[in-house]
Amino acid sequence: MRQVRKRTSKSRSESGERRGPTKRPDLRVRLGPLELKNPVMLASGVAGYGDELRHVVNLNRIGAVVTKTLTLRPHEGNAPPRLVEVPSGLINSIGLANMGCRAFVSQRLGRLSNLRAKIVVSVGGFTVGEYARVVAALDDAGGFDAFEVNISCPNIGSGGVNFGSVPANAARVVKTVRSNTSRPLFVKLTPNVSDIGAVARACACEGADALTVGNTFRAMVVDLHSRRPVLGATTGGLSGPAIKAICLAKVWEVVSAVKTPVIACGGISSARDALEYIVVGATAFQVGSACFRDFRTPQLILDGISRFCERNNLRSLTDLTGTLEQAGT
Amino acid sequence: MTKASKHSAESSPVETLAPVSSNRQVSGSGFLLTLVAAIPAPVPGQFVMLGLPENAAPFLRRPFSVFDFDAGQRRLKIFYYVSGSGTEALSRVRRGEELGLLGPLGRPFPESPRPLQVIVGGGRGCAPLVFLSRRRHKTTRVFFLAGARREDEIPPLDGIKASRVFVSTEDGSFGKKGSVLDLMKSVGASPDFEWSSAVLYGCGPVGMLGELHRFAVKKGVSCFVSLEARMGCGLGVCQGCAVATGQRKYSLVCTDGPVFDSSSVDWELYSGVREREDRESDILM
Repeated sequence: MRQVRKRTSKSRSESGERRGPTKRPDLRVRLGPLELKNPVMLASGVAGYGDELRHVVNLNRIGAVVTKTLTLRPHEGNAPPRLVEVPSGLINSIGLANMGCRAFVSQRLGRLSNLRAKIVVSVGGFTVGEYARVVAALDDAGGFDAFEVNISCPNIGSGGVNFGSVPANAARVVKTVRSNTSRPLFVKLTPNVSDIGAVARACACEGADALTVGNTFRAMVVDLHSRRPVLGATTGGLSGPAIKAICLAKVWEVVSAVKTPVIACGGISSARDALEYIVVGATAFQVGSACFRDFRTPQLILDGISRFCERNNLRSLTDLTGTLEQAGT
Repeated sequence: MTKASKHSAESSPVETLAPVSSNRQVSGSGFLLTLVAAIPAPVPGQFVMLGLPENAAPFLRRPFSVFDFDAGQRRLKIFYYVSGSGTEALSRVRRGEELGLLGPLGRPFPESPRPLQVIVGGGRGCAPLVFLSRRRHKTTRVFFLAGARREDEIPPLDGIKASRVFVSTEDGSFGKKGSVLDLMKSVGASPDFEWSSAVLYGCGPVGMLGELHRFAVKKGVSCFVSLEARMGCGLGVCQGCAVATGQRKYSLVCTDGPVFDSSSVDWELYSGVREREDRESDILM
C-alpha cells in the first residue's frame, strides 16, 4: 500500500517533477487501493442512498459519496423525536433507518452508475454474521467502489457502537468483512472510547484500507417540563461544529497509532476545518451536518482548498498531509 | 407509506441565496417576510428551508410553509410567529440581507373533484392555507375558516380567495368566540351545507388537527392536513422528521408530506411527539 500521509521534503519535490508545472493544484488522494479525484466526501447519513442530492450538490465534482448505512433487512429506525438542535450542532437518533441491502441493490444501485464521484456503501449489522451477509450480498451486486463498515452507530440497541468500542470486537467484524470482499474497505470508528488508537490498530491489523474518524458523540437533552429525554431513544449522537475540535484530537490520536490512511469526519463546515484535519494527518475528509445548513458546502470547501494550495504554492494537497509540527517548536 | 398526492407541477428544489425585500411585524408576534427567490414556483402546501446568514445561530435551517409566491416578480412570502430562538433570530433579519433558501420542497395539497372545499386553519397554520385558497381549481365553493387564540395572532387574511371567510378567536377578541372547530361545526350545521360534497384541508396545532381528523371520519369526508416536525435536511436524506403513519411504520414529513391524508396518521403517537417538540419552544413552522 502506498502511503501518502506523511511526506518528506524529498518526496514533495519528486511529486512536483512527476506531475509537471501546472497552475491547478493536484487534489488527488489515495485511500488504500482507491484513488479519489479530491478529498471531499459526503458523510454517511447526509447523502441518502447516493443520488438524492443531485439537484443541490454537483456530485460529479466531489471525491466520493458515502451512502446511508445499509443493514441486511429493512429497518424502520427509532421512535421520534429523532432530532434536537443544540448550540453549534445537532443530536440525532435516527437508528439506522434504511431500506435494507436487497432493496438498495434492486432499486437504487443502478442509478449511481452515471455519477463521477466514487460510491462508498456504508454497511451495518446487529451481529458479526449480519455484517458478513450484507457485505457478501452487496459485493455480488457490484457497481460501487468501496465499503465503509459502520461499527460506531450510537443509536441502536445491539451491534453498532458495541463493536466499535472494544478492539477485539472491532477486529472480529473487520476480519469477517475482509474475508467477504476484496473491495477497498474503510472502517468508521466511534470517538466514544478512551483509547481510539487501540481500536484503530485492531482494525488496521485485520486489513482495513482506511479508517473514518469518526462517528457522532453520544449526547442527550432533557425536557424540563416532563423531566423526560427529548429524544425518543433517550440518547443520540452529537454532530456539527460543536465536535470539530474534539474530533481533530481523535484524528491526531489515530494517525499517531497507525499508518493506515484516515478519513476525517467531525464538524467540518469550512475549508479551514478540512485543512486542519489534513495538516494533522487525515488523507481525505467527510462533510456531514454542515450540508443541512447549506448543501453547497462541499463544493465551497473544495474551492477553498484549491485556493489555499494556490496561495501557498502547493502543487499537491498531499504536500500538506500530516505536516503538523510539534507544539512549541 | 401514504403518498398524499402526486402533483404534476412539483419541481426539483433549488439551493440559493435569497435577498430579503422586507421583514415586518404584522400582528402581535406575527411577521411577514418577503424574499427575492430564484426558485421554481411552489405549489400550495409545499415549503422551503430558510437558513440565517453564515455563522449565525441556530445551526440548522428551519422549514416554513409558503404563504404566497409571485412567479413574475419571484417574490416569496412567508408568514411566521416568533416562537423560539430560530424565529427570534429570523425576526431580526433586515432588508438587503441574504438568507439561505432551499425549495420548493414536499408534497402539496392534493386537488379534489369535490365541489366544496372547507379550509380550516389554526394560528400560523393559516399560512399555507391562504396560498391554497388562491389556487385555481374547479371547486365551485371555498369556505375558509381561520382561528386563533386572540386577535393579535390572526395572520393577514386579505389574500384569501374564498366564497366565505369565517374567523374565530378563543378569547372572543375578534370574530366568533371559541375554537375554529366549533366555528366549523356551527357553519356546517346550516341546512344548505352538504358535508357529502366536501373535502377538508387543515393546518394548525396538533390538537386541532387530531380533532379535525376525528370529525372528518364521523362525517365520512376526505381530510388532508399539513404536519410539522423538526427537520434536518428537507430532502428526505436525514430521516429526522419521521411521523408514525401505521403500526411501526414511519413516513417522512419532508418528502412524504408535509401534507398527509389524515386517516394515515397515527394521531396518538404524533401528538406525543409534537407536544414534546413544542415544549422545546423552538417550534418549526
